[in-house]
Amino acid sequence: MSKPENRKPGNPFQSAFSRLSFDPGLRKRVKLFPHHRQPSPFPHLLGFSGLTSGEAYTEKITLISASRDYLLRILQDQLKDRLEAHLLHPEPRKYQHAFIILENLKREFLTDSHGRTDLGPLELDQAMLSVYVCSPSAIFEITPSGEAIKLYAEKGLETCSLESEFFQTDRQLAVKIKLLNLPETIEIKRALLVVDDKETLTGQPWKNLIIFEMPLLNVSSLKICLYE
Amino acid sequence: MAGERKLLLKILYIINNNYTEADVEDLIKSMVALILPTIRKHSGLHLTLGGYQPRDIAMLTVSSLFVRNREGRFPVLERLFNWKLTEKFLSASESDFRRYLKNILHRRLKQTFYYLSNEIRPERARIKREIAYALKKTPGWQILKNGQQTIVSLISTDSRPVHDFVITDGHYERLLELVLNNGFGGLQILAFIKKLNELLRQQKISVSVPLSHLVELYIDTQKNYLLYQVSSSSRPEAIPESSRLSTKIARWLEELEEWNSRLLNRYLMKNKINQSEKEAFLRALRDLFQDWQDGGQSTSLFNYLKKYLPELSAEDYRQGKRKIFEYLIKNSKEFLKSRLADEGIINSRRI
Repeated sequence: MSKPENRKPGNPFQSAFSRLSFDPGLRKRVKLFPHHRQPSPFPHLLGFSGLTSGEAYTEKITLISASRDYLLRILQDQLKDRLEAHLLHPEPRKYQHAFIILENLKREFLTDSHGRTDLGPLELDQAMLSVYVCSPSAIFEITPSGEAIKLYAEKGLETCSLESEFFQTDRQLAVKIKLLNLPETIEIKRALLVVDDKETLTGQPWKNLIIFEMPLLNVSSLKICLYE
Repeated sequence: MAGERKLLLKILYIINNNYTEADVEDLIKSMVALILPTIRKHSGLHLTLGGYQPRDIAMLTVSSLFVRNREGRFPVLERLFNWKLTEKFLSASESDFRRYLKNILHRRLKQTFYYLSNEIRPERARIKREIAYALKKTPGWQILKNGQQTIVSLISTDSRPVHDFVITDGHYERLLELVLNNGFGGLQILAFIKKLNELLRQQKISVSVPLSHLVELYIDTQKNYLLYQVSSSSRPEAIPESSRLSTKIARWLEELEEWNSRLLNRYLMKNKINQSEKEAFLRALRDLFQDWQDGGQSTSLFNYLKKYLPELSAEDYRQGKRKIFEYLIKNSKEFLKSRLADEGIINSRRI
């Protein structure tokens, strides 16, 4: 669906509103290029989901980053007539919870902890395809006591820390996340909350603050990923 | 606000997962514009919220509605504007939708204040200065220096102490209770002092307290207002009626919970349910009543109960729980209908 947009350039409010929607996109992202090679006779073995037999899949497109670290395989699930993307990287934190951005389609998809995501029934035109990957710049684990333990931080974010506060009522559990000691040059565009390694919630911090209302009342593990 | 229908359509695009980022952006913009005047009104209370400006508070309030899940859907927004409800508004008047939207946003604002409660910083020096000024401007107050302390006393207009009760240092709680029960929340300092003067005279109560007590009284009252009362008093056109009604509804729901608890005790005694199931029924009912106030049931009854009984299967629900739950809901509906009819809010003949 596309609608005409009426935007006033230079309106300071406008940029604020844009920040809360997913426009403009993530800044620190890696471009992927088509990777031309012999298609694998066993497409399911790479980017393995462990769920379906190889016959169910055909390989659509394979993309690779300039550094050759990231490999993205887009497979077609013949039975469901949907596309699946499998992101691969030597380091798990790069393929886990990474955004796959299909720029020309203005769509974004988030990978799960196996680097896999369902693209749905998309029509992909390989010639027009412009794909980027954005992995977390920093990852924190929130302990039940509310302490934030830094698991990973990219260069520039070493000093960054989190403060979390829980709010529980009989109906819901919410967590307030405050980003601290962020360098002025770095802007966190998205924050992702991973609940029990299953459910994910994505939001945009405002003034380095974000509030997540969780779908469950009892959670055993919480992780926060930050994206630039 | 013009174009409520347009907003409603954008909400519909979003809950149907058929939206563009421009739809999201427009909706955020409209919601921020709708909530901003209420927030600006509160900035005169001299309570700063962790250095956040009114626009930041508005953005934080609205942004929590636009958190997405893995499928790119907005669970919080979809909970508040479920499909059934949105469809109802499509055929209702625009003003109904506007009222509902404002109500939702004011409740979310109250929640934002709650989330930021640890960051509320009262501007004490400024409040103290303005209270001293207001006391001088309001007839009947006497300010005396007693060593290091400034004592504030309310004297009768003809200088005779004819009051039945005197509130001194040790009665701060009584004073706080008085102002909280008489709607002092949201008042700026001069209006607060004038109203306090009127109330104390009406109730024949005098005060003789340190000035710092009045400062704390003002801060505690306004904090309480921000955290608990913002939504009911932020609709100036409906303050008396709506706040009275919401108080009554809260009381009815308390009565109803007691009543349902007694009914569930009977099932408990007959071993048809256990204690944790009783708690689950009560909590599920609480959620359902809240959704009734927000526009209607948002999911199946099974889902309301399953939220608190995660192990409950559809089969178990059908066999052992559905009858109990539906019976409780039927009774609750009757109870609320009769209360609303007693108040003349709905026609008793339709019951």
